[in-house]
Amino acid sequence: MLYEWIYIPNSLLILAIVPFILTIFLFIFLYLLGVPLLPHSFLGGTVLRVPHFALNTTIKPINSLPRQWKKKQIKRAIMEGNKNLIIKYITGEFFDSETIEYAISNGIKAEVICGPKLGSQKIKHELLSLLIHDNLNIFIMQERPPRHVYVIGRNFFLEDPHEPLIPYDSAIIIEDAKDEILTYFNIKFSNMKERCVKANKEVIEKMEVY
Amino acid sequence: MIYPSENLLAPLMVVSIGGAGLTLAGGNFLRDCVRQYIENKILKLPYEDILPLDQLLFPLTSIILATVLLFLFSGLSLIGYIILDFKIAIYISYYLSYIAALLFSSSIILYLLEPIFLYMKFKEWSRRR
Repeated sequence: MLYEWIYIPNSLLILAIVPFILTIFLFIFLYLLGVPLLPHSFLGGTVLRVPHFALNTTIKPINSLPRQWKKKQIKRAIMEGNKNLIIKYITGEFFDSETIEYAISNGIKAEVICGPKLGSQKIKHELLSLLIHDNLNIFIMQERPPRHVYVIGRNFFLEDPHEPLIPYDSAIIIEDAKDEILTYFNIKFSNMKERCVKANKEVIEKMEVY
Repeated sequence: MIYPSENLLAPLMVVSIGGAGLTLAGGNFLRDCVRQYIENKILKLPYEDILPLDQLLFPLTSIILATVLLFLFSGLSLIGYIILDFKIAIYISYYLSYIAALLFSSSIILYLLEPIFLYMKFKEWSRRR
């Protein structure tokens, strides 16, 4: 009988193999339940550590690899016609105004929290020119945010901690981030916004630069 | 040939009780290792409480608790064998202990493999122009 064959094995081979097979079934069951089986799956679908610039370039690197990734994500959102998408960006010196400009000029809403000092005079002028768009909200913090995050839809981009004016070495990308992460981040972002001053032309003109 | 089930009794008693205790201790160690790994290598400190790590590590805690429960059920099966003399119970106990040990050890192996995958993907990105 099959019942006896499984529970009262008459072969050493069955005694050894059946638990393995049952464990594989258990893993498949856990996977189907959505239990993360790898540390990165705790965070989201794909987790990548990415360098800021290509490492094997001999000339001074100009092409920021994460910036390319951000543009690709924005392009994808535009192609999919996802107009409800909101970009949430926490930055120190607002060096990445390029992707924000690209997004808002394509009708995507963006909310930016930045530090009290901007990266350069050029960034200040760029920001002033961006203020004409209604779909951009800039909030200024009293102190520089220590961790810089860029959230496009369900994609999460977290820069390594870095000093002002020194580019970060690498960053972590979490594609298709878990709901827990997004909900938690949205609450944190709203709390941070409450501590900020909403930027307008006068506020930005008064901002200091490095 | 049917193997004498009595030979399994003593080892299974040790494995089920010891396994439950060791998994509880080792499980917390594994959880701390994964937490440290996510904090130091993936997020990089200070992560400024941007991600809900305790919430995210809950599934790992459930795997550890499931392993402990499997070991405990294995022990309960043995009691069934001793008191009621059910021969099947000792094999159920054997399977449960074996599955619990495999579940826990394969979880450790999977977590150890993770840094290798992350490093390989980093190298792939660093070659892009």
